[in-house]
Amino acid sequence: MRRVVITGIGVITPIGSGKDVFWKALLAGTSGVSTITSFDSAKYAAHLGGEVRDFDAGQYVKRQNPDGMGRASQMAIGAAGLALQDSGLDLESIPRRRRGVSMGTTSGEPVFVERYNDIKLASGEDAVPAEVFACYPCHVIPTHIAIEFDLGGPSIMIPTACAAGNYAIGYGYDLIRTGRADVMLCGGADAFSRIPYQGFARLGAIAPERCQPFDKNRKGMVPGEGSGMLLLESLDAALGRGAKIYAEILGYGVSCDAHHMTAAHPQGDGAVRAMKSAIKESGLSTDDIDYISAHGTGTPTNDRIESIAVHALFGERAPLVPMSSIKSMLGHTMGAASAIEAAACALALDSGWIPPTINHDEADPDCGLDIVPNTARLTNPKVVLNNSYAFGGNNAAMCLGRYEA
Amino acid sequence: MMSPRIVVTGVGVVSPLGIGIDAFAEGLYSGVTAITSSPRFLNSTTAEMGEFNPAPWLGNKGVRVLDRGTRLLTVAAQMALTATGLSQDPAGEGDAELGMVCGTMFGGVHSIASFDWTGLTEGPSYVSPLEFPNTVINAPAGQAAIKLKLRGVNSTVCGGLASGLVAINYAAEFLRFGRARWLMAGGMEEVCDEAALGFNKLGLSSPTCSVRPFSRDADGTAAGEGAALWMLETEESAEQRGAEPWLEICGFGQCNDAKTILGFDARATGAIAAIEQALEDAGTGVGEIACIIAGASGSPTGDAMEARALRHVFGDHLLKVPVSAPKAAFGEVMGASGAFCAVAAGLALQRQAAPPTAGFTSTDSGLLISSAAQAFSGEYALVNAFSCDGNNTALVIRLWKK
Amino acid sequence: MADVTYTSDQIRVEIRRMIANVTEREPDEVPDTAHFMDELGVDSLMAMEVMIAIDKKFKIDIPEEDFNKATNVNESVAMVEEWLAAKAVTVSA
Repeated sequence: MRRVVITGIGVITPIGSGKDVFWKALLAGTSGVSTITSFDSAKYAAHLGGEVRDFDAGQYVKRQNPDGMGRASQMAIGAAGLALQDSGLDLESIPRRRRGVSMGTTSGEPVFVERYNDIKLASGEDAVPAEVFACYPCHVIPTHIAIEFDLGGPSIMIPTACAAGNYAIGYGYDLIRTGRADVMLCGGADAFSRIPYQGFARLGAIAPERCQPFDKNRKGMVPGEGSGMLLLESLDAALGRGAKIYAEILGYGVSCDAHHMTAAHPQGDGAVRAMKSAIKESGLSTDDIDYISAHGTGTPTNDRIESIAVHALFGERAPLVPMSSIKSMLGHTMGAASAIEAAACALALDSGWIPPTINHDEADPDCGLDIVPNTARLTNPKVVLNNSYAFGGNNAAMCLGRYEA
Repeated sequence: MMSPRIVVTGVGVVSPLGIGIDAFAEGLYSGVTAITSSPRFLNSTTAEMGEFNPAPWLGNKGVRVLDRGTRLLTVAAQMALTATGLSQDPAGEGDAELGMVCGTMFGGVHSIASFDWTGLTEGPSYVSPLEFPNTVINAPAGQAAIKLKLRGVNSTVCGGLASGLVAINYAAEFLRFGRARWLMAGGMEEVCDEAALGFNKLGLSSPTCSVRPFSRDADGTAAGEGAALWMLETEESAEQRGAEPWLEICGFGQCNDAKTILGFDARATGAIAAIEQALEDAGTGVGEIACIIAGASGSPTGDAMEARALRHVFGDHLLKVPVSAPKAAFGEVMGASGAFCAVAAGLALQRQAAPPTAGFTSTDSGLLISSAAQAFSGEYALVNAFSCDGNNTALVIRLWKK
Repeated sequence: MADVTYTSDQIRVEIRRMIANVTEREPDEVPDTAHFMDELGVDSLMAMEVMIAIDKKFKIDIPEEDFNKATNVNESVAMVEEWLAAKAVTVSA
């Protein structure tokens, strides 16, 4: 089986677009969370969001009409284009059938459901135009990427909600590992939408002022949007073309809580099994893990359960492994989250720095972990673990390693 | 290291053509169609389940929060579990090696639209907390896992009308990697307001209310619903527990030729490549393919593309291979279509007869099609699932042989 | 239009029906003193679902932290009566 490396990174996020801007903002502890402007939040019990404010679809979508697709597709094309550019790869040098795309999302293109209902309410359902139906199904996101970059190989959408980015990158890794594809653009995308927002607001899950993962007084998560895309290829191909290698994908694991649609298993059963499988598939032990990118949404329950899971698996070493949540800065970018976090993991391995958990005032004794409070740290990690959990009890964890020649 | 062989040891099917594999097979081979003028949606041609009560399979508890699509999926899964003796104790914790991969196109779109509608018409304070979880696209597979205690790999995959085959291949790959021992794989789709209206708005539905794939007078398709799942495991796993495999998953191909999200590629480049890839992956030549289950749905452009791809790949041999287009009977089940066609292919191999293509009249496609079952002799079948957005997939399966 | 008024018994019937609905049992299987969480298996999402159904039905707006204090049918009926009374005062004032 072939070794698989990350040679291109593209991100569109609430703290900036493009790898360099993003990474600088992340290490500086910049918050991308503020009062939302995507829609009027007056009716909701919450008002915060992590929105992408500087995104111009026309700058990235060239071969298609940007207005003919939803915002998740636009941002995904943006991030994919940036990843491709960053990789320096000439796609034409790879046979069409050997280049593919693997995506994750939580909501796909919910704007078309919103439009359907808005039109139905105003003028009746007969007035709903045909394109609303064609543009909705979530597989149009990778399809739009395939069209934009002329990818003739596998194309897949894995909508496993807030763990989807890891699932999608994992699938791309599998395809290259087994030789079914040579280049995969993989990641996740989600756009701001009133549908999940009103759900989280109704559950009282949205923080009123800021996102404080693992803080004793944390009050909730903050919905966000964005896209993270990675370009994966085989190690041999990357070496052959003298590419910059950010990191190697070592393995991943998925599991299902089969417990509750929204609440994690009280002992973190699925979370533990996903981490365990990822570490095992990577041929490692917990002693090898130098940093954990937490799912860390900032809700009281998620962070407590994730801490329980890390303690259960890492034992006495748990408090010694730095673990931070960049959701403290970006908010929860849903299906894009673990893909953007994977990008952060790759940049951490490449640069030696690990990003902080910002907005930290008081440690939560129920968590008891080193969450890299407020300030980035130089630790030179060799192996990192990227955690993600989702509605439906879908958990995915991935190990990434520094590539050393 | 030899890659382990992936086998099918059970199946669950919920379809308007029949509930349960026996009823489904009987419906399919009787040559009837489940496609009618819709009883639920105005001016729509569909294949629907009607009132569907899951209680006989799932009991009365824990069903209320499951939306229609999730009920179809969960019942199909329960059937596959029962058929393989892998049902989990409802009071137990569930097997961590047992999971599900569900292909779907629209997922629970009706639940999503209803949730948004409540917020829009009654106000955001009145949306239902219990229905909110149903607004994620992976909700049906997640709910099924909770209900049936499936703690292993759980994934939802989307590739348009090809989702069902994408799911089967995804599960097979996960089993080869040893990430689970048993995975149910296939697809689910429901006919709801949004799907019915969408088919009409996009001009996909047959105005004459008859779906005739590959026929000269084909004039459109019909939205169908249901769920179909195979239980997949490795040969070794089946052997260990004394389960008799039915079929083997031999090869898969997937190629994209999208130029737009709404249109088949008339040159069939992606479809040809997907079939060639599946044959190569299976290590079979066209001469060994004894039966073809086509994805043709009555869409004149889609059917023409598929016929072209088959002529290109099979050449003269095509005149010797019976072709069946079972969507004439169960409709275009969208994200579940590939799974339904795969189940039909399995039945064809078992019976050594390609199922009838219901309502078939005549064709100039150069394919061997019939409104009656066509007998053949052979071990391998090809299943096609081509989506109108360039997502082309093909699967080669074989009657189990040690 | 004057607001509809409810007797204790009417409120009790409604609340029992709502609890029965989310927990998938018959209304007569919901005793007045049975603990929602411990005896009837009401989880936090179900509790919120019932609270919203109550708000909708009786046109009141019980804050979540208050609602969570009601642990059985009797306590819920008392709480709804209290909020209906408070509303009547506000409306007439």
